[in-house]
Formats: sequence, C-alpha cells, structure tokens
Amino acid sequence: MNEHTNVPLIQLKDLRKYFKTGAGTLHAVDDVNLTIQKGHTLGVVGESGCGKSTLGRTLLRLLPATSGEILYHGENILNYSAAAMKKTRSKMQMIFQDPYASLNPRLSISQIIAEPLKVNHVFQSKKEMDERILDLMDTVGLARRLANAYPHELDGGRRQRIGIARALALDPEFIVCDEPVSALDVSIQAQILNLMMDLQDQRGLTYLFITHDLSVVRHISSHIAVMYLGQVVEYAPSKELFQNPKHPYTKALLNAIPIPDLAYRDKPRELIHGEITSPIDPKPGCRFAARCPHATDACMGKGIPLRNVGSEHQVACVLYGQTTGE
Amino acid sequence: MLIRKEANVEVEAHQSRGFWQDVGARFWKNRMARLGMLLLALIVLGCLYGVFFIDYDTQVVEQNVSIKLQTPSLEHPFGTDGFGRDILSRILYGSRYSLLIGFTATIASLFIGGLIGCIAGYFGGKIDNILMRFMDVFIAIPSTLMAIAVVSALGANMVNLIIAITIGDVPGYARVIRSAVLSIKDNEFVEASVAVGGSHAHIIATHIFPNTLAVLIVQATLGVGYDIIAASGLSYLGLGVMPPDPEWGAMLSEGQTHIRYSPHLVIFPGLAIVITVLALNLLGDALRDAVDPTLKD
Repeated sequence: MNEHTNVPLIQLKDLRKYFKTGAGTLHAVDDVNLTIQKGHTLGVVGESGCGKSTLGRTLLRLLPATSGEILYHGENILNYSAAAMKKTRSKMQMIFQDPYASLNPRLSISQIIAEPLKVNHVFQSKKEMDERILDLMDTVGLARRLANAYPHELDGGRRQRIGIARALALDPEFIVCDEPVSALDVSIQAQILNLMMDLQDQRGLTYLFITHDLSVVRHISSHIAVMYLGQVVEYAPSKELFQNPKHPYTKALLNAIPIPDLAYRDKPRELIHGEITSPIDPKPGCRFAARCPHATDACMGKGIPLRNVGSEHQVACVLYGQTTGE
Repeated sequence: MLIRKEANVEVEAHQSRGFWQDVGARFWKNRMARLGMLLLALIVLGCLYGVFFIDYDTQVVEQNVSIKLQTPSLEHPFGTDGFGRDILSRILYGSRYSLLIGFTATIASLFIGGLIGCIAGYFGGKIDNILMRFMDVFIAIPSTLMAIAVVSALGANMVNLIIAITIGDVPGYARVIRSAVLSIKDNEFVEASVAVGGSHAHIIATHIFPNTLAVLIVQATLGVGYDIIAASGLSYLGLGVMPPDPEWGAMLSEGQTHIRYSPHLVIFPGLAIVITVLALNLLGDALRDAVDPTLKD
C-alpha cells in the first residue's frame, strides 16, 4: 500500500501507560501499536479493567503517557507544548461514557455546548456563537427549545446527544468514543449509534470506539482491536475478526455472544473461566495464559508480539499456526 | 425569516427551573426553614433598630445605680443590670457585635479555608500534603486555647477576636472543601473540560467552585452560629469585647455575680444567643436538605 504518501491519521507506537500503586506498577496499557486511517472506525473491545478506557484517555493526553509515541498526522503529540496541544485538542475530541457525570449539573445545555467555543475563543460575538450552538443542536437532533434546560431535566439519550454536540463544536477530525452507549437503553443505543455513523459520513470523522459490547462494535467499526490486560491480542478488519477469530481470547469472547436459536441449546460452548488476572507487575509471557484452555509452557517466559497472519490481520499468540487450532 | 423567528420563540418557550430556583422552592416548603428565616429577620430588625435608634452614651453605658437590678417592667421590659442600665437596649445594641463577629469570621475563614481546600484538592500530591498537614497542626490545638493565645498575643479587642476565631475555623473549612473538590474533580465533566483545552483557572472557576457552593453555604450558615457562641464564650472569659460594651457574652459574664437573686441579668442575653444560633442552625439544616437533589420529592 502507499503508506508513504498516505500518512495515517493516528498511529500509536509502543504506547505505555503505567500507574504506580502501593502494590506495584499497574500496566494499564502495555506496548500498544495501532494505526487508524482517516474515516475509519477502530473498535477497541475487552472486558472491564483491560485498559481500553485508559488507552483512549492516554491517546488524548488526558493522562500522561509513560512511554511511546502518539502520532497525529505523523507528528508525535507527546512532544507538543501546552499551546500546541491546546490547538490540537480542538481536532481530537472525546465522547464520554456516562452522560450523567460528563455534564456539569450547574450549566444549561447551551452553556455546555458553548464551553469548547468559549475556551478556544472561536467567535467574537455572542450572536454568532448562539447560532452555532443552535446549529449543533440541530445536527445532533436536540430540540432548540431545550437550549436553556439543565442536564438533570433530560433523559440519558438526550444527554448523550449533548455530549456529542460538545465534541463536535470544534469541528474535530478524530473522536475517542469511550463506551458512549453502554449507559443507555437498547432502543436509545441504536439511535445514538446511527447518529454517530451519520455524522461520520457527513463530516468524514475518524473514531476510536471503546466498548465491551460486541454487537455494538460489529455495527460501527471498520477495524477491531481486542485488548486483554493492557495489550492488543488481536487486530483485524471487523468482518474478518468475526468470521475468522484467531486468538483463543477473541474466540471465547465471540462464543459468549448468546445465539437466539434453540438448535444451539445443547451445544457446548468454549467459555473462559475465572477472573481477569492482576495487571500489577504481570509476569512476562502471554497474559491470557492463566485462563487459556490451550496454554502450554511456550506461552510463558517471554513477551508475545503481534504477528501478521494475513493481510491486516494480526494476532499475539504463539499457538496460532503451530498447532492446528479448530 | 419566518422560520428563524419561530426558532427563537421556541428557545424561549422552555422555561427551565435552574438549580437555585429548585433549592429555593424546596427550602420554602420546609416549615423549620421558614421559622429560621422569621427568627433571623427579627434579629436583623432588632440589630437595625439598635444601630439607628439606640444612643450609646445615654442608653447603653450610662450608669444609674438608683434603678439597679430591677426586674422586668413596662419601662424596662428585660429589667436593669447591676449598674441600672436597661438590658433590652443593651441586648439590641449588642446584637451588632455578635452578628458582625459571626459573619465576618465566617466569611474570612470560608475564603481562606476555601482557597486552601480548593488548591489542595484540585492539584493534589505534594501541594495537598503540605497544605493539609499544616492544617492538621492547627486542628491539633483546641480552638479556645488557640483563641486565648492569639488574643493574649495581639491584645483583647474585637478585631483580634475575629482574627482568633478565623484562625480556629480555617482548617475545618479547608478540609470540608477539599473533600468536596476531590469528589467533584473526578467527574467526567472536568475531564471533558480538559479535553476541549480548558485551563486550570477556567476549570476551577466554572466546574469545581460552583459545585462546592452547596456544601459551602450549608457549612457557612452553621458556622455563623458556631462563631457567635465562640465569640460570646471568649468575651465571657474577658478575651473579646471589653466592658462596658454590651456584647452578649460579656453581659453574661457581668451578670453572673447577680445570678442568684436577679437571674434575668443572664437569662435575656443567654436567650438572645440561643435564639440567634437556633435561627442559623434551622437555616443551615434546611439548606442542607434543600441543596441535596436526591431528597427531591
């Protein structure tokens, strides 16, 4: 592919985020390498505590990275000064998980949407800004009469629309969506997801979509990265991943999706047992080994990097290709 | 053109009740809150009467031993004290000391403590540790002892009394506001503000501080009552407002020599203190309930 002329929008190189805790170093994000092309949606899936939210926050420098590089249009934003970062922030926005906690209860809807515009001094006159706010409200499907309402007067779906309007206010190129629908009812989830996909079509947005909901990620993503304990264990285009999962963890995740068909009632499933192991000072080797039904001695002792196993398909498992999986 | 107009009308159509309107409505529903308001209004009226209509030289400090220790009568509704001075006039005149000390000390300590608490809570880490350990040192010293030390170092008068009470109050406010800030700063809306490029000052001013107001106001209303008691206590000990000025605590102190045969000398100033503190506590309690949206009916 023509990678020299076509610099990816976002590229993560060996990104690490460690937290120091009393018990040791917590490896929340460990040597993550990912590439997101403009206009694509990268879904990041994994169970609670696997570091997917931390990844999103570190990517936007809401948390300081421990080491590695975050390339935006080929430039490492970790080296940016505060002023340069402030400029870049307007191009990289975030939609938050909890539409109840992500909106200041003391501000009205229009004040919340106005904040990014005010902070960045986008408009000189209040009139222009008010127009822009109402336009944004139209864009995300909020009735204009709600401009002076307060967040507590609205339901979760409407609140999340406010969060989306706020993220769109500065015309970003890239948006990190941190489980934007997991706090919503299923019917509302579909509305919000469709809104986000429409916006992507209209504005050419690029998403990093963090979720633990596989049906959601299938619906919205062009590519998917599966995370386990801070590491990406499998990366593939969305279709490929669902049809041809390679990593035992991915297989187990996909197996956990309930199939609404009586014919499958008595079929045994390969499910994972036990709890996610501690992310504090993990031992070298495959972090999934403790729960993996196929684990051998080869899984322990040394780090297991992602390998190419097909065009755009990468997996971090020593067993794949060695034994004849299923 | 027409469409634009309609849209504007729509914007105004939604009459939203803001947070404080909600608080006001819930506050007014509370019967105890209304009683507290009534009492405080009476006290403030009495204080204003004292400011405008009571003459210090003739009605407050002029001694008239021929009518000393009179029991309540039409002429002297609260009786007279050991020097023949009208107790009602003295209480009304003296209300200014209590209210002034109570409110000034509370506002000053709220400001200083609030600033320390905000900085400690928001920035955390070393700054937090240094500031809060410093506050712990102050908390370790009993407030009365601290006030005695301050007043004896600076001299006994009202300004030093306010300073002494303020110093004693600051650590408490700092702790309360720090913990409020800690719970607020982890909200996603603070992170959202960072994500759009908001500065520390912007975040503290628009997101952190307004959300601590609820806690702060409650703390302050209860604090005023506490400070009035502290001021009276210190005046009683001879460390605050000095005789012949009729501070309520000082009046108690003067009256105690006659407590056996003329108890009204201490009953009335005591009642004044009790009613004022009661009014402020009722207000504080009601405010605490009113600002808590989970108690919404």
